[in-house]
Amino acid sequence: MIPEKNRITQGQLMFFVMQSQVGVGILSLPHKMQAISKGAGWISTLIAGLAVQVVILILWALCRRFPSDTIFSFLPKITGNLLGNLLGFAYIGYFLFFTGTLLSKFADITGKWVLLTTPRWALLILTLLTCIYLAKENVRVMARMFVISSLTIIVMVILSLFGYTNANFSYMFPILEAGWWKIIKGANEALFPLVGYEVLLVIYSFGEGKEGGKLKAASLGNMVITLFYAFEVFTCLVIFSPGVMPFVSEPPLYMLKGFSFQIIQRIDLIFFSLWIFIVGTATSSWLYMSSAGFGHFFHRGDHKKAVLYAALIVFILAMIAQDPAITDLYDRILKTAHYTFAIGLPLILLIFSYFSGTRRA
Amino acid sequence: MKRICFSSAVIFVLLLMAGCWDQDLLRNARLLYGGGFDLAPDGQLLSTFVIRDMPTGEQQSPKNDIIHTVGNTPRETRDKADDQISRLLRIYRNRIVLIGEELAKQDIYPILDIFYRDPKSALNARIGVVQGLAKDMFSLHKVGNVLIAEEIDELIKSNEEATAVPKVNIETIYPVMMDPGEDFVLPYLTIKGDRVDASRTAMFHKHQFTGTLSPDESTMFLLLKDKKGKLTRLTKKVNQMGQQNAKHFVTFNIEKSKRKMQVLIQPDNQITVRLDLKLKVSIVEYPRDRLSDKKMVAQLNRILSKEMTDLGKKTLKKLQEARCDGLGIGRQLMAFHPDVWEKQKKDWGSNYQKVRFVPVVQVEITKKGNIN
Repeated sequence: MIPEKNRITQGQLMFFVMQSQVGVGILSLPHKMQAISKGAGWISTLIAGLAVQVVILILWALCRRFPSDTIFSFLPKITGNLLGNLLGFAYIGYFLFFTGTLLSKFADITGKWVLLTTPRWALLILTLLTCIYLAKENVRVMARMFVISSLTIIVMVILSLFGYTNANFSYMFPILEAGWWKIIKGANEALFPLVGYEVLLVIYSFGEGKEGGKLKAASLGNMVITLFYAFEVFTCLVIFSPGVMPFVSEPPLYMLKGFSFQIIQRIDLIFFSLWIFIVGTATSSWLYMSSAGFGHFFHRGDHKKAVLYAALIVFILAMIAQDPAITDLYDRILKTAHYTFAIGLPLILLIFSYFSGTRRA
Repeated sequence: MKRICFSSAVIFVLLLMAGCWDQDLLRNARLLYGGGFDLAPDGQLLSTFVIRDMPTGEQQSPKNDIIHTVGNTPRETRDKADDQISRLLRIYRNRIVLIGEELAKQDIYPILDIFYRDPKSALNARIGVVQGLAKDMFSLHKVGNVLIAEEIDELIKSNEEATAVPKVNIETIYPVMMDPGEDFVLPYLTIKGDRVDASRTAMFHKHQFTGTLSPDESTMFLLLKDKKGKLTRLTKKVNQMGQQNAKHFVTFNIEKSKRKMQVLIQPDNQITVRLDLKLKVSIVEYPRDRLSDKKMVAQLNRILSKEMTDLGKKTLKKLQEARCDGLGIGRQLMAFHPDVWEKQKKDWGSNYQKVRFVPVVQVEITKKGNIN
């Protein structure tokens, strides 16, 4: 059972899902969307959000059958001990791999935009140290932190509004230029920046209240993030002409680079700092997920001790991915892994447990 | 006890770790305030760097240091300039980039690439084209008591508000420059004696400088583009009566400007652009007076409407001659008539010259100052 001090409210559950979803993807998403679905990039993002909603339904249906288990403890109940534990390790691997990719992208962008001469290892260690500090706490403490840090999203939206002084809405037209097939393809691409809802598999049982309420919380979190992403994509689409978009790989930052106030000259750096905050919370959340798995297998459910070596693995993974060739490989692996672990496997598990009638109240 | 030991160890280590890789101290930097690019006689690039020096004493005023270097690319000339000065040349405070006329007639993108690529560059710096050489303009050193780079920056800023020159900076022209359906315009600066004049507009086609607009046309262009600044003032000739020259003219402020642009495609693929401009103006100078007479006002409205329509026609003709699609007609086609654009885009420059513009300006006098 989950101890009382570890329980989180439904509101906190919502913020947990939100903060795990917002990661590095936000900066490059508009660029990627424009490349595939042109002026309809924001529609693609919304479609991706809907798809994620369906996946959340699957995850919820699966988790609600085991209201007091995390994924690591309910897997053996569905598939039997050996296979269940193997799958549990596979999930840990997926979580670690995702965290590694997230951090390596973070280090790439930071190294490119602000800290040009700071070595990669220093960036990674500094970020990881902060994340370890948060991830070693219990779920309730993390959730409280995530509630506070969600304020940054509001500030990011406000900062993006400045971009509209240069907006030209005709850049977006004709909206359906790329055709629906491309728009769906774009939606498929937009799924990856939205990754993070898998956190439900681990923290679902920590949530208080009724099952329906928890579904609502997770869906609401996803909706907020989808809207936020779609807003950023839309903003960038009306500010950058189709001709310039292929040259700008981080449009939300680039559009703010030319603005200055009386006191602050570079608004993009403010946006950047908030983004670092958001990446930090996402990293902590993912780090928590993998160390919860290690904790389940090696430390009798105590994840604290596992955080350190989980972080070490993540550090090594992020250090390896310096070469663009390796980053691409990481991306490809991650795409397959995402379909497998976030969509495919939960669906199979759900069907399996439905027919075999495994359930523990 | 353990805690205290731990904390003091942390503090000690942190003290040793002060500093970082990316520190860039202001006292090691020489700040660039303006940059100019010209075509050197042998086809190379002649760059001018205006560096502001902050004197150490409080009594002295800041001084400019101007360096000229020749090289193949902007970056190369910048490195050469860096070799000639003490400390490090830093461009993040840059206020103004000027491009010489002859260089602007070539592709200007290679000059700007460095600004877009460098994460530390100041993208909000203003940019303009200079009649003659940018080097000569910076060589003025000072205008009145103001250092040249600041003077040009402030001058352009105030003229933007007066709807005299387009409001652009390095960042805002980037999306337009890369868009095949629209061309950008820049302020055009001239040297008048020992002063700088910024009231004209330099037109570009694709990345090349192709012509200029006079001060009045420049204002008209901005009105047609629906980019009215805070203040717009014009003086027009309205009659021939009387001996005194000043009595022939009226000066008015444009208080409100409402533009409607319609791109129409006729069956024979002729593109017609209707531009309706409704201006509400206030008279600020009219020595002939008698503005209480309604007939007089109606007549003035008529004359001014005609004058302004003519000015609009003249402006659009000049734009077409320069192939400068400053109003973004191509963009409108791209967005709302993609099939027409598909046929026209290959040779948009000359197809644009065949576009028929129908400007209609309506002037209405709403205020006339303290006297009639």
